[in-house]
Formats: sequence, C-alpha cells, structure tokens
Amino acid sequence: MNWLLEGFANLMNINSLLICLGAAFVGTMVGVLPGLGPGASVALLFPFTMFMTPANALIAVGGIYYGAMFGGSITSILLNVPGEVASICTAIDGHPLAVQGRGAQAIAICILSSFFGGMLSLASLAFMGVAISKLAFMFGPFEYFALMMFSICCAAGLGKGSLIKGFSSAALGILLAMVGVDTETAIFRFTYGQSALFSGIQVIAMVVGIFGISEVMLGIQENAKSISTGIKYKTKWPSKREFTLSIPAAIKGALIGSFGGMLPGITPSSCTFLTYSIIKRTGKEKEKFGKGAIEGCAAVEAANNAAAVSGFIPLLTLGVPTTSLMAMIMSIMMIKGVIPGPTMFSTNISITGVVIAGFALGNVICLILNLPLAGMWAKVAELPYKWLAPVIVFLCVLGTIVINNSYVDLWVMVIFALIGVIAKKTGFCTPALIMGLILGSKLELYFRQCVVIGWDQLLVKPIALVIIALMVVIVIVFQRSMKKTKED
Amino acid sequence: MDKGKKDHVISTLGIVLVSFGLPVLYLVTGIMALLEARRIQAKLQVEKFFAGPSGYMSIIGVVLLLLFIPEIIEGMKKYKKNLQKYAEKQAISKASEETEAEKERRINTNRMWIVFLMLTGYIVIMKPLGFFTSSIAFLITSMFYLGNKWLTVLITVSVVAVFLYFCPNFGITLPKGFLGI
Repeated sequence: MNWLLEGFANLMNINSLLICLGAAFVGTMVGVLPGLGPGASVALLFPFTMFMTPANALIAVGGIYYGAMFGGSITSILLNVPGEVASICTAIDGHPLAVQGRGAQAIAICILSSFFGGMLSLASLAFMGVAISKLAFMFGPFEYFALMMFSICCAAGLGKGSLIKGFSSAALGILLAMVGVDTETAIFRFTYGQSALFSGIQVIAMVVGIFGISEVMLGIQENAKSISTGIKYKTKWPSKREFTLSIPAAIKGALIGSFGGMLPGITPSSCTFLTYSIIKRTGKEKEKFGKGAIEGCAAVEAANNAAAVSGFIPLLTLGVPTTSLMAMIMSIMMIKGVIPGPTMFSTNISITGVVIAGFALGNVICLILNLPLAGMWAKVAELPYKWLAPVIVFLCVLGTIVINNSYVDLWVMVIFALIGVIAKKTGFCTPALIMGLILGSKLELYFRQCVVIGWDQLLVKPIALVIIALMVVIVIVFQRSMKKTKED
Repeated sequence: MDKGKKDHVISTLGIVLVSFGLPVLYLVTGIMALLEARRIQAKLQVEKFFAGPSGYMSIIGVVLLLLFIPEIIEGMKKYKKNLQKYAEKQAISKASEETEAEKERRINTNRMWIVFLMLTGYIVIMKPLGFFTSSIAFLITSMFYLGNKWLTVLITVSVVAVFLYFCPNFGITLPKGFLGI
C-alpha cells in the first residue's frame, strides 16, 4: 500500500489541492442547479481539464462528479427538486423531513452517509484494484473484445423502450468512431476529402453537445424554474436515535452501491432505486417511508456515492467503462495519454495513487463544503433559469473552442446538441451512442486481432466465453424488462 | 398559406420525422458504410477482408441495415398512432380553445428553437467577428429574449467581458475577428 501513501504525499501540492477544492465546489454548485445532472456538469467542465496533468484532470472530473452527487441531495431535501435522477429517492423522504422542520438533520445524515459510501467504495477500489488488475493481465484480444461488447450491450439497455434502438445507436457510435485515419493502414475513412474530418470526430465536442447544450435546451422547453419552498435552513445535528437508525441503513446502502456500481450498465441512480426498495422492506420504521424516514435518506445517499466511486473500479482495472459518464472519463484519460486498464495498477500506479488520494480528499472537501454551507447551496438552486441558460451555453461554446480553436468542433457540438434534443422525442439511446464512439476504435482493434488469430481460438478462452454468456443473459434480462415495462 | 394549414403541415412533418427519422438515418448510414468499405477494399486489396480497415466497417453497415427493418416497422406503427392522436387532438381543439398548459408548452418549444437558432447564429458570426464580440452579442440577445432585466444583462456581460479580456493571461487563446478582438 506504499503507492497509496505516496499518492497522498504527491497530492500535497498547491495545484492539486486547489483543483480538488475547486472541482468539489463547482461540482456541488452545478449539481444543485435545476436541470443539470452529473453528466452535464462533467460535460461542461470536461474541456477545461485539457490544461491539467493526467492525475489532476482525473481528480477534477472525479470531484465534479461526486460533488454533483452531493449537491443533488441538498436541493432534493430543501426544495423538493432533485438536481439529478439519483436524488429522486432522497427527495421522497428528505423533503417531508424538511417540511416537518428536520431538514438540517436530514441533510447532515445524507452528507455523512454519502461520505461513508464514497469512502467505502474508495477503499474497495484501492484494495480490490490490484487483485482485479492482476486478473486483467490474463486478458487477451478475445477477452477484451467480449468485455467491450458486454459494456455496449449494457449501455444499449439504458435506452427507453427498445433494445434495438440501443443497439442501433451503439452501431452508429461505432461508425462515427471510424471517421478519420485508420491507424494501421493510414487510409482515410468517411472523410470525403474534407481535411476537417481527418482527425476524426472530437469526443469532447460531441459530449458537450449531447449532455451540455441539449440539456439546457430541454430545460428551456420544460420552462425549468427554481422553486423556493420558503423552508429556512439552520445547521443542526441529528439526534442519537436518528444516528442509530441511519448507521445500519447507510452500511446496507454503501454495500449495495459499491457492488452495483461495478457492474456494467448499472448507474448510481438504478442503485439508489434498488437500495430504496430494499431498505423500505427491511427498515426499522417501515411506516415512515414516504413520509420522512431518515433511514431512507441515509441508505439512498450512501448507495449513490458508493456507486459513483465504484464505477471507477472496472474503468481503472479493466479499462471498461460501465456507464456513459465513465466512458467520458475514459476518453479524458486517453486524450491525456493514460490508457485505463491493468497498467493503472502496475506501470501507472503512481497516477492511480494520486487519483485515489485525490478522490478521498475530494470526499472530505465535499463533507466540509456541504455540511455548513447547505443553506447557501439551496440559495444557488434558486437562480433563475432564464439567466443560467445563456451563461451555460456560452460556457459550453468556450469549453469546446479552447481545445483546438476549431470551428468544426463547434459545428459538431451543435449537431450533437440537436441529436440530443431529438433523442428525447424518438427514444434514441445517447449513452449507447457515446459508448460506441468511445469504445469503437478499441473494439475494432481487438476484432481485427481476433480475426488474425482465428475465431476458433475463442473456444479455448474460458474467460471470454463466460463474459459472452453473461452478455447473452443481460440482453435477455433487458429485453424482458423492457417488454414488461411496455405492457405495464 | 393560412395559419391553420401551416400548422397542419408542420405537425404532419413533425410526425413523419419522429416516426421515420431514425430508421432513415440507419438506412443511410448503413449504405454509406457498405459503400465506403467497398471503396477501401478496392483500393487496398487486403487479403483477409475482415482483418482490414473495411471488414469491420461492412459488418457495422450490415448490422445497421438489419436493425433498420424492425425500426421501420415500429416507425410505421408509430406514424399511424401519432396521426390518430393528432386527428383526435384536432377534433378536440376545434371544439374548445387551446388550454393554458398547451399554450405554455408551445411557447416554450418555440423559445427553445429560437435559442437554438441564436446559438447557430453565434457560431456563424464567430468567424468574422471573433469570439469576444460574438459571445457578447449572443449573451445580450439571448438574455433579453429569455426575459432578463437590463441590469442583470449588463452585469453578466461585464463579468464575461472582463473574463474574456484576461483569458490570454491564463494561456487560453480564442479566435479573433476582423476587429482584432
């Protein structure tokens, strides 16, 4: 564990500490704003990480991500406005508590549970990371190809209504990843003589368009308003009984989140819904659920943050993103020249050490920022959307142009913003599109390697066969659940 | 064209786009992938087709074409359903006035598309005018359009202008226009 201690030592420089503080602050701020979730906050600040070292960029993105998670819970409780989907369950019990005048206690429990969940997940990342990455050294092209297909299948399942739409979106993403030069043969593909397309489609511009601009546009269409409920906030500590009720609930939530977050396709929001349904059945004060159960808040928040952090386990150990947000983080790493995968726990272990240390510090900062400043964050959520929308659009444009000073990137951003808006109406699966675009080139590389080795060799690769079997199972499960949802 | 007829054309076009937009996109991209794969194969003459730069591409092309079939079937069902819904809505709206919620929704949708157009205009004017001028123009027009007070606009634009002025000091270079800013 020397690498982890070295990580903490390397983190102790003014640059990294400021980035940690800034990311947690900005993440929380964006997280409390109506209509902007963690995806949008990462997309919005994604381009600014280009000026940072690989470790600092990862610390910044991590800080923004779980800062947004922390922020979402405050507005859910005080204003009944979940900043993101994962905070919906927090609002179910948190807001009634605020109405009863116990909002401060609920926020304290939520923040402490989030902190606990995040730290537990970080511990599992530090301890399990080495073991999983050792296993990953046994992986060859077949295993990686199967794993990436598995990830894409899971992303396809995130779409609404039909798995076919998810697969089509992923296929389109894979096709978009082919635009530009083929690295092996140096032949241009889908460029049609346009020099602007030679370097391919800029992932950042696409992500900013889909997650940043389109969310703002949809916010304008939905006439997103800040809602002030008039609830006054004053920091108060929870009672001993509230603590006693919350501790086991937070442990359950953290364990569910830590495990669930590692699985491809399982987003923190799905972990929170699962945790809420379990805790509702097993909680000590079952009758209070929906009317202000502190256990519900504790479990859900612990699960939310635990899942957010544990999503980094498959990304850093196997190089496989489990959600579209992790795919965005993966692309930042690749742009920075850090290839996520087993080398993160061998040759690049110094970066991993700093990153894990940065995440831990970021969690502590979020705790410090949120506990006494919850009242201030609730005020931030009251900012009018008619002011926020143009400012966010301006920041998105600024973020996209600073990367390459390219107008083509801006047009890519606009086109994908339009796709993002239309996607909401047609059921087009944007997570699968992003996953396809980011994994597309790697998937092609492993596919071609498999062809050269010979597909018959797949039969003697037990790990790859197990992954393929799991993939088939998950596709069937998704198909059935979608069919059931349609019937209902 | 009178307003009623214009609304009818726009609504029908919207239904067609929502129902058939995606299948058509898959069909077009699938065909494009196959044509591109054919061009590359003719140029490189790779021995092992699937190990080359066009093999994987043609697989994705075929997948898109295969996925087009269920999508177009679903699109047809959706088209019929949406047309029926539209006809029902028309019948109701003829009998009664547009509800407040519907009116607000329509206004907000129009507002969204106008802001989108403003964004497009922002990028178009950026090349000749530069980032500074176009950003200020975009912020002023969009903020006024969305109903912000002039003092809010003034403060925001001033803060952004100061920020952009000092951007080069942070190592951020932004495109300049013919005015030199």
